Amino acid sequence: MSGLLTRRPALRWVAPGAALAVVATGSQIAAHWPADAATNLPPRTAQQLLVDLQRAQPSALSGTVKATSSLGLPQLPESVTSGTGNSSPLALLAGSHTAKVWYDGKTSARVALLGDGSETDLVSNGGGLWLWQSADKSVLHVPAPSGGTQRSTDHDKDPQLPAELSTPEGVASWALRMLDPSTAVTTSSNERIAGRAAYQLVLTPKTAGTKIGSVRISIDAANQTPLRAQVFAKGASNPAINVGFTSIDYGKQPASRFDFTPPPGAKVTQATPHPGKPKSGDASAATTNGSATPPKVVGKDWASVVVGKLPPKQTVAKDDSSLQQALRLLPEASGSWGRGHLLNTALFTAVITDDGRYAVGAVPASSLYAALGRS
Amino acid sequence: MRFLLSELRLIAGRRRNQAGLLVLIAMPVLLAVAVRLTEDNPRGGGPPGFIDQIVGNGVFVAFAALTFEITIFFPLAISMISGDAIAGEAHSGTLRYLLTVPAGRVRVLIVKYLGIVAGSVVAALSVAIVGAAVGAAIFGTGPLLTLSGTQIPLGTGLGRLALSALYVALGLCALGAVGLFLSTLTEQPIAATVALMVVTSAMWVLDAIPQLSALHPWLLVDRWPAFADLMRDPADYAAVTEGILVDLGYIVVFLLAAWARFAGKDITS
Repeated sequence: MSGLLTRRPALRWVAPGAALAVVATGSQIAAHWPADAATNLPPRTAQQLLVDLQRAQPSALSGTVKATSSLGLPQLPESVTSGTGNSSPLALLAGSHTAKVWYDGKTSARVALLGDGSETDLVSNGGGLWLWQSADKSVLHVPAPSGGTQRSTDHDKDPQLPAELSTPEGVASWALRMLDPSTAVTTSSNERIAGRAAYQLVLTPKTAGTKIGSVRISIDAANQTPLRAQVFAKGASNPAINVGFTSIDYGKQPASRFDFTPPPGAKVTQATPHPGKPKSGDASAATTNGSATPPKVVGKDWASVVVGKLPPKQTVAKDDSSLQQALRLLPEASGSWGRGHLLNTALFTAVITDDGRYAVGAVPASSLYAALGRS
Repeated sequence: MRFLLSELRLIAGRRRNQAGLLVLIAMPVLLAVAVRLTEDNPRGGGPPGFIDQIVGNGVFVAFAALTFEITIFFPLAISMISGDAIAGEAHSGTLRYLLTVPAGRVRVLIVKYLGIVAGSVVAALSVAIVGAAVGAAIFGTGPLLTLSGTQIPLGTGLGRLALSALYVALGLCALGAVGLFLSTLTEQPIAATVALMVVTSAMWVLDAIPQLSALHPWLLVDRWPAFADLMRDPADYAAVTEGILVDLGYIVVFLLAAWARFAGKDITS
């Protein structure tokens, strides 16, 4: 052996080469191992899957969610996006992000969005809603409405609803009928996601006027927890938006996981919720105090376009210069509808005209121009 | 064993290594003093790492120092030691005496690498210990604020600091394996040192280019700052585990490469 190596010293290089090959192939096998495992599930129709979804009892879980969006937007270097903190919701629009999720099966949940050396936590518990951002040590607290803390995730059974909707089967067939004119609902080959066998529900728009090719939702075969959602652009083989669990554990979660006490030194902001609406305060606030005309919807279903006018106040706001700069990066477009800048992504397009009108939709740019011209 | 002890004594006795260690442990001291002097305006430049939290708890000086030094200072120290390891001996003409003493080449290589490992561990641990001590003396301690906005007791926090330091040390050991291989390629220690620094800087640059994200998991430095994940609540070991696997992969491949090169090399000086 050693004699061979003395005669042919070059043979020694086989050792590091082989080690490199083992490391490379080993890591690839490890990365793809769970996905390649076969799934043997009894076939189920789209309607049966919808019924399953209705019947599903929310189960306590913890897991890691990975969201990847490749909308065709230019990817900015990390140093540019880190100005806003790369775990901030704004930065979610591009690239790939990881979050940890805990849910107790009832009302308490915690979502931790992981950034490089930073974290944004959203905690929902009996005391309301807490938003923690480690980048500036700020806490936003939305207290629970005084009426009671139980916020049922199930649909409230409204007596006005037709009797059909009181059973899961009824809701499923109703949903299918509602979707039917615009959307084909089918199932696709079963998959293994985060180590769990899963059914796949595919929603395909029937109209040609949209950029969305299909929406795929994967559902855990054992307990009907949605495991992954993907949005494909028309003709694309890779999803433009992919949100799914990379690992998931079902089981009881410790109650302490959902506790949140603002740490000393944190800036705490109290928000007063709208009565009966415990979350998403700013969305409703923007529409109520904006002097802008309410946006209109042109077109229908998948091909609908939202057309509106930016509030005039906003166009002279102080931080407008950055918005203007961002706008200038976008290609210009003009036509009979006016002049403006066009944001064209794989899934949706948006136009902001120079006189403050906008149009957004999951449609080709030409449909936006038509909608702008008509309004 | 005696061979290893004499090698360690040799590394520790070199003036340049002593000065290097001094520079390394001066960084957390400098950091703590600088934050202390500007305490009125703690949110000055920007949000890098753990600096904001130093004022609240001195132990974060250690975390901030590890974060800073991992980019340049630690790799520089390892480059220096690994440059001396084989190329330094060859340059000063002592390598052949080392081999004429009945010490096999494999044994020389192992002892040289253990010397680098010792250097890595000493560098990372002393920065962590000095940082925590200086920070505690200047700012005081108490429960640590995690990235998740919760607090963990001081003991747990110190445990996670120790884990972070050891994780950094393992990353430096992997870099040292690359350095040992480069050191067998040349007889100029400065060439080996510069080459390892070039490799390190190139990996940091590649790691910062998002278009090359497919390459990032293969870069040694990509997971190095992942020890920050240990300061989440609960601690997130996913990225650290990946980092450890990458480190071990580099160690195995480059130690074998160093052996392949060194065992068959003609020692002329």
